[in-house]
Amino acid sequence: MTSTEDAVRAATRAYGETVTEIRPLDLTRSAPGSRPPRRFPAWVLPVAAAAVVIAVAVSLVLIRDIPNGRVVPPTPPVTVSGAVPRYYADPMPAGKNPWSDLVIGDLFTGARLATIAPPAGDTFVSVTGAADDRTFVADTKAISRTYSPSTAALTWYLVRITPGAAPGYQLSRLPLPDMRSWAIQGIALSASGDELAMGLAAAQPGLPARVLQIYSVHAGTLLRSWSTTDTAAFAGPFVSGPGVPAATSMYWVDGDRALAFPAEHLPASGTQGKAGPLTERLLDVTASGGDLIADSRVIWTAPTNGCQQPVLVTADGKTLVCTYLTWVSLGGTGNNTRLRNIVRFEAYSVQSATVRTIYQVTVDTPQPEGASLAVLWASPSGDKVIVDWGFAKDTVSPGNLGVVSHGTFTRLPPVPSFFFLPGPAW
Amino acid sequence: MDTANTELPPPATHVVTALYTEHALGLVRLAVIMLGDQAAAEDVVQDAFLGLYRRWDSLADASNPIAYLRASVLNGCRSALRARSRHRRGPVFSQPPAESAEARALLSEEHRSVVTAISGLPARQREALLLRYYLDMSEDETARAMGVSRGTVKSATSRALAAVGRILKEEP
Repeated sequence: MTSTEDAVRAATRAYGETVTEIRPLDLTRSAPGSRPPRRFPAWVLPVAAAAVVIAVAVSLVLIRDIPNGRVVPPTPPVTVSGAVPRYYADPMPAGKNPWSDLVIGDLFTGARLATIAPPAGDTFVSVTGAADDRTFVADTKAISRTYSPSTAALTWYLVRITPGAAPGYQLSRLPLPDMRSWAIQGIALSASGDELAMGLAAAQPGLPARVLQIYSVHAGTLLRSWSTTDTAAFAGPFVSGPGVPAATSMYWVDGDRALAFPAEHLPASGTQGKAGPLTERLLDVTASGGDLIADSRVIWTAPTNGCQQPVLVTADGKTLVCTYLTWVSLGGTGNNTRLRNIVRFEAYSVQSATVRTIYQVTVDTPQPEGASLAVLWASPSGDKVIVDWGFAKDTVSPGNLGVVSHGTFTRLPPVPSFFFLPGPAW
Repeated sequence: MDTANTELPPPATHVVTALYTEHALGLVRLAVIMLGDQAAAEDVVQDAFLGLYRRWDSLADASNPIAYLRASVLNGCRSALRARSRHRRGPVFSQPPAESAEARALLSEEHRSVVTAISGLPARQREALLLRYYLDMSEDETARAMGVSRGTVKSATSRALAAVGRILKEEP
């Protein structure tokens, strides 16, 4: 134990103990994790609207990063190709109400196209999208007030959006099971929109600990199922917290013939060793078998220094896209210390096990930098990705939502809080 | 028909309120060190408990709600730091946390120097440091709580300790 460790332990505890009173719990307050309402000055909206119109008219602004600099030189505008999904669905807290609506938005303009309220007494939980940018499957559950983890019956809906029409969407109930014996760990709609994969954790005794099932969306029938008794199978960042659905953490790949999902690298059979590094596994859903671990294989292992979970697996199954943040000190002491942060988005080739940088930006900030970065979507081959990154103390550009293609970053209108799971679906 | 009340699960309201009574203060203290602001820390913790209340039915591991709450508080702290900047309501740390009147009165000069140094660390390093030394979590537990690898925890902790040590040595 070093003196610095002792000092940190003693000081943080002493500081923590200065907090002696807190207010009582208020279960009637606004929804947790809700995106803070926008509180812009009155002039911002018309100016922003005009800016959006201009932006759409001339396409989107291209921003090229220069290594080791913040300078963003103007370059000829480019159009984000049609390969990038334009519309998203996202469960968002309905203001101060104790439920979440399903919000349909336009990524290119930042506009909210529709707000779908859940049935009375229910809340939208998670959503997943097909490859057509128009078809989504979402689930709702009752806002229950009793303790019983096995009674969270889900109701499933097919959401088809029709931009430009009124009301802009069609909502129809699906005959999928209510999954009341399971806790949903993640869902993924196949590119075709015909099959729904569910990562499940047992919520009742006597069930396999972890199960991956595939259902026919329209018939509601179970098509395939894999299970394991090992609770580590869906561990790690597969979810942001127990019970918080992570719809964006499971991916259909290879023409809907395989599923990629994150997991812990499990200890060798029969050993009592601890779980190893975080991994991404690939399950061939066309092959026989029913063992989630034995029938899947590791396609990526988190390096000690490099990209971390969660990773995004492209639809061709050949590339994993992930984020990596490093920094160096520029000098100064205490709160005057300045950092040079290097935000890097990397692509890992499953075939060659090599990593290449697909975009990198350097941002100088004071400490603490408060970084957030995420890969939100990737094209089937990984040549285009939607990313969001920002630094709490970057007063120039604290939020950066955009498309990276061939090393360039095309900024998109900001959409609040895409970072929160279950997050948006495309 | 005789219904045995003992077989009925307790209402979520009661369970969550009991958890709040037992654990909220510790979580607020953790959030205060992360955010440097007690009001914001209490908001984050209130949100975490409300989230637990709302998701009670779907919790994968209802036997360990504390892990859920801790993860929620850490997520909430990250979000709060980010939201402060996005909405430009002020700097991330309006003041080093040890500079409040109450803290000033209760903290020794040495402790205040350490806390100030910690408040200047990058968020990930600060988080790793607090989980490892304030909560005494193992590297594995810290990695799970942060959603990163054990190697990342090691490197973040090592860098954080080095930075704190360096800052303390540089102080007159």
